[in-house]
Formats: sequence, C-alpha cells, structure tokens
Amino acid sequence: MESGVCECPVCGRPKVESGKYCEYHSRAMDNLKSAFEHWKQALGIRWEDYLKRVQALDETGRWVKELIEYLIAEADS
Amino acid sequence: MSKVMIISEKPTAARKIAMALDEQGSPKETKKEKISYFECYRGGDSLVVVYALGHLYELKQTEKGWNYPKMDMEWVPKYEVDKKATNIKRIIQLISRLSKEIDRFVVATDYDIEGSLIGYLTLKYACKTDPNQAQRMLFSTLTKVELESAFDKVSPTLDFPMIEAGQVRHEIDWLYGINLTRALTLAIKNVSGWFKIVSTGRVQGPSLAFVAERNIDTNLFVPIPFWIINIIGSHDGHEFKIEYQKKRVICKSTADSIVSDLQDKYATVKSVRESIITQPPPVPFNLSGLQTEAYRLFRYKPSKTLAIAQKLYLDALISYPRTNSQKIPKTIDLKAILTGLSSMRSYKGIARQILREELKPVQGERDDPAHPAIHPTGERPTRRLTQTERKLFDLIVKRFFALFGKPSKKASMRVDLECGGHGLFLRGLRIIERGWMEYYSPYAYSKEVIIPVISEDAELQLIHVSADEQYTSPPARYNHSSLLKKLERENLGTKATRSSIIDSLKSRGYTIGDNFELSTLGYAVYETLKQYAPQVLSVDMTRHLELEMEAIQKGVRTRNEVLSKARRDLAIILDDFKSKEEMIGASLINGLRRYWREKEVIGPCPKCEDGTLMIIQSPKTGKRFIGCSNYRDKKCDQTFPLPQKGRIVPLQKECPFCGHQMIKIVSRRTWETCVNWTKCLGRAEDLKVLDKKRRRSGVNNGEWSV
Repeated sequence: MESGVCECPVCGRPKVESGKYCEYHSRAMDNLKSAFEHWKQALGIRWEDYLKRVQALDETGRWVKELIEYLIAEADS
Repeated sequence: MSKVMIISEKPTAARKIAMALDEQGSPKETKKEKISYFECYRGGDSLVVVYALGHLYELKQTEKGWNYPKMDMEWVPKYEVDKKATNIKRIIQLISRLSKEIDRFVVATDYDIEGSLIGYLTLKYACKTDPNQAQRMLFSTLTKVELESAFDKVSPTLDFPMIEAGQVRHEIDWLYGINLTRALTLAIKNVSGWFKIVSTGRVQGPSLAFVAERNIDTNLFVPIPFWIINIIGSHDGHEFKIEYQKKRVICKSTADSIVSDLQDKYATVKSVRESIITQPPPVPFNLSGLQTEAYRLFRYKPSKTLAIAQKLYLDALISYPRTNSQKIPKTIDLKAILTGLSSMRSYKGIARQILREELKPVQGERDDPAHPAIHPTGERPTRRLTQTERKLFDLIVKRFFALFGKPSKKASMRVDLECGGHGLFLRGLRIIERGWMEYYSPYAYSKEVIIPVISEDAELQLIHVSADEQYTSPPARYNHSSLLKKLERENLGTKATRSSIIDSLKSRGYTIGDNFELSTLGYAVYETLKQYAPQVLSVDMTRHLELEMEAIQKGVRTRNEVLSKARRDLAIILDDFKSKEEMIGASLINGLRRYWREKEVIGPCPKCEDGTLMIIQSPKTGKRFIGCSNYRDKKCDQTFPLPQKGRIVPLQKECPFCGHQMIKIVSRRTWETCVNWTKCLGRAEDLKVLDKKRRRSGVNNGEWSV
C-alpha cells in the first residue's frame, strides 16, 4: 500500500472512514462550508475570496487555517 | 500532672499553638538537626507540641512489580515512597520517641479531611496509640483566644467519618492514578520499547477532557462577519454615543443602507425611562471565591492564592482558607476583629465607621460545617508582608468590610429614539449611593455614563454614523480561574486539590501557557483515552465517586463498601484496557512522535531552504545545537549554537538586525534572541552580558556550544 494513503493530507493523522481528512480537519471542512453560507449572505462573496479572508483573521481556528492553506495550495497546483 | 502531646500540621502552627497555650507565653523549643518540638505548661499539665510536615505517611503497593492491576496498598512512612523526604524520617522518630511518655494525645491539625487524616495516621503509626482515645482541637484561626478556647473545650473524639473519607479518597486516587498511568505507560513500552511516563488520574482525566474539548472548539472555529452601527448624537452642545436597535447587523448591504438612512438626520425622543438598580454587598469569600477574585484583580493563579492565603493563616492574620463556607457565623467576635483592624493605619477609618453601626454581615449560600468563610482575624502582621501577601490580605480585609456595607444604588436611564423607521436608544448609568462599594475600594468598580437631561419629543442630531465590520469570537480558552470554576461546578476534586490538578496539566506537558492550549501530547492522551477508555475522561464516574466519599463523611456509606465498588469498576476498565493495549500503544506512539517532532523543530533552514532547522544533541559532548535536517545526507552543513540552559521556543518572527529566525529561551530569565545570536551584530550586547556572567561565576560550563 502506498504510504500516506490512510493519512490526512493536512496533518498526517489517520483519516476518518470514507473521508479525505482526519476527524479534526473533516469537522473544520464542515464548519468552513456552513460558515460560507453566512458569508455569502453577508457579503455575496465567492468561495476562493472567502477562504483568503477567513485565513487572514485572528479569530479563525488553527485547524481551519491549516485546512485553508491546504485547499489553496491544492487549487493552485 | 499529666503529659499531653499536641500534634499539629506544620512548624509555624506548632509554634503558634505552643505560644498560645503556654501560661507564661514562652514555650521551650528543643531543636535537633533542623527538627524541633515545643514544651509548655497549662493548668498543671505538661504539653509537648509536635508537628508533621503535611503527610508523614503515604500509600505504597504491597506486591512487587511495575505493572498493573495493582489493587492492594498500605500506609508506609513517606520516605519509603519519596526518597527526597529525608526530614520525615527524623520527625517520625522524634514523635515516636516522645510519645512513649505521653498520657493524653490531642490532634490539632487543620480541621478538614486532610488534616484529620494526618492526625489519625500520626497517632496510629508514629505514636502507636489507639486513635479512639485521642482528642481533637477544633479551630479556624491561629489566634491566641481561639487556640486557648479550642484546647480548653477539646472535642473528646476524632471525627472518624471525616478520617474515613480522607482515607478512601487517597486510596481511590492511588488506585486510579497508579493503575491508569501504568496502563498508558506500559502500552507504549510494550508496543515500541520506549519508556515514557504518561499519566492520568481520577480527576486529571476529566480535567484534561474539559480543556481538550474547549481547545477543539477553538481550533475549529470559523468567524462570521457582522456589523455594528456606531452613532454619535448631539444635543444642547453635548455629544454622546447612541446605540442602534439591533446589536449586530448580519448583512453588509443592510448595514450600509442603515448608515445612509441615518447620516446627518435628526432622531426624535420617544420615551425616557429611569430605573433604580440596587446591588447588595458581595458574599463572604470561600476559597474558590477568593481565588476567582484574586485572579480577576491580580492575575494570581489559584494555587498561588492558596499558598499565600495559607501563609496568612499561619501568621494568624486570616481564618482557615480551605473552606467552602460563605457564611460568617454569630460565634465570631466581629467587634474584636474590627477593633483589631482599626488599630492598623490603612483600615482605621473604615473599621471605625463600621463599628459605629449594627454589625450584621451579609451571608452567602454555601456552608461548610468545619470552617467559616475566610475573614481577617484583626491581628496585626508581626513581620513585613511581601507585596503579594499584602495585596491578598488587603483584598480579604476589604471584602470583610464590604459585608457590612449598604446596598449600592445606581440610576439606569434609557432614552428611546426614532429616525426614519429605525429604533435607536441611549443608555446612561449614574451612581446614587456607593454603599458597600466604598468599603470594597479599589476592588469594586462601576463606570458611570452620564447623559444629558432630555425630554420626550426632543430632537437629537446624528452627527456621525458608521458601520463597523466585526467578527464573531471563538469560545475563550480556559484560564486558571475559569477552569477552577468549572471543576467546582462539576463537583470534581476538593477545594484543596483542584488548583494542584490544574497545575498538573501543565507540568505533565499536556497544556502550554497560561491559556491552557493543549499540546500535541495532550491531544494524543485525550484522543487515545476518548477512543479506548472514555470512562477515564468521564465526569460521571469521578463525580459519582465524590458523592460516595461525601456519603462516607456523612456516615451514610462505609469505607469498605465504597472501596470495594471502586476496585470492581477499575478492574473492568483495566481488563478492557489490556485487551486493547496494542491499539492504545500505537495511538499514543503516533501522538508522541508528533509531540517530539514539534519540540525539536525550529523552522526552515535559511541556507539550503529545503531542510528544517532542528535541535540536535551532540552524541559526543551531550551539548545541544541547531542543525539542518539535511545534515545527515551531507546536503547542508548549517549549524547554529544554542544556550545550554532553558527551554527553546521557536518564534514566528525574524531578527530585525540579521533577518534570522527568532527564538525564546525560557528559564529563570526568559529572553528572546535569534538563531544567529553569536554572530548577529545586534546581539553583541547580549553576548557581553552572558560572558561577564560566566566569568563572574568562574565556570566555563559551555553556556553556548556548537
């Protein structure tokens, strides 16, 4: 088996069953998606801009920032 | 004439007791090898006052072997468990020798679970006497009056339910602590061969869970924007802040249209309402109340507050601090305390003012049958108090004063306005009577917001309107005070043990800093226990045990019943644990690997750029330095020297002089420097100071080394 297949691509923790990330980054993804609805309503913002704005905020949680960093890098590559 | 032995808990308490009980006020102190005892005379009896140093006896397993389960234990002298407790051996020998000639034994340790147990174990094992024949002095302050009264009206028996509860608490804590810690540690050892002690315990487990769950919420937090409408109004030449009807507007376009609707408009006063708010004095301090207030005002950790309060108690300046009570009983001579305080320059004015009125202190709800709420004794300090002691003493005295104050009265005013269909309002607050706040100064504070007199239908010009973008905040991480409150609310631990449990989370490496940020190791232990042994993190299990222990104290349950049940429950957990040992070990090892990796990594290598700077220990000299991770592959030879003492913390900033990464060295003197510090021109001064220090101490102990 290829090494890293069972690991979260963000942090290396084990992935949740049938998911892409570990438990924490899966929950971070869920939170990020549900908060996007509020941001869209508030600012009519696009997903990519939303990620950048949330990443820059001090209030944003550590795992959410790690996930955004990964999502942006993944989108760029 | 009979010979009486009085057993106290600490040397200072023994001296106070001897001074108070000796008819001449000058007891004889016999000192040998740093251990002393006091002899005095009272009512024709000869008294010998000895002291323990906290617990003289501790629990030890009866069978051999560092494995689990271990369910049997016995009380042994502390020096058999803790090799550093060398003083204890001499104290036990002294008490044993002196007790041979004693006719009557009196326990004068602190009147709480721990104090009662210390007295009982000392009688049983050091004095080798029957505890059923011993008497008990009950007191809440170490003042002469109270100690004399406690001795003259000595209780004929010890408080056995309290002792049983104390014993079972130690036994259960020992059972859970020893077995679960070994289970975790051996899981790692059996899987990887590493020996790293990973501890948990009956209260530590749930405490770790509280901190971890809060950390998880914080780390998963996504802020959401909102807008606050800021309005400045003007009336009769006065400017004041006006609030918008909705605290938060959740859409930018709505916020912008509100601003444009209100800008430079006039708002009409629709109603003016004034109400009087009365605020009763705060309740007397129990220990957690004092710890919370000391944290709020001085940022003292609960354990620090307890340690200072304990010193003040031993100096007879305040009553016994480990109390749950928020009540000042009628038996306390309030007049004498206030008269005593009125002889001190700082308290003269208020104490005299209170003495002129009826002495009726406000009472709280919580009660403690053993001790009243924390209060000053009215005695003057006989030594110069340190700054921290002075601050805490002042807080206790001022809170005591506040109990006699009248309720404070404030006038709250609300003016409702309307402008273009938008509701606005103004709020003001004026203090009418400071009441108890006067006595609790400077610790009571209320900000007045004065607004001008406005009548209905008046018009206010809105001279500035703006929408401020803000974001929702993550749940606050615990601090010492909020975690202490949480443990108290959940009925976990006791007033005496909570602060040390909180400190243990940090000392075990599970949390970092004062805001209880969970470390990688903390996550590893939490995640492993959550997955494989969730009972250990559960509040229910430990809360149930607390209730059982309270039931023993009340005489409803017996020690054997509770202990047998705890053993049975623990055996089930340990059996389950054993069956999953391999998985538990693997999970902890993964976490430990992450933890160690994080501890070693400094940041990216500035030379090769694809390597990582790490803390490396030289196998030859044992000295540490920073080296590039590509060093072993001979791709990069970048190294930096490191100070040999202190913990290294990488910082997310660059040196303003040379651009290298900054680090923090945490030791007795915490300081910041860059990794290039020995060559950085901006750090020359630091080096000079260090070199001077090194030469002054005359040792070249390799303060820095490559």
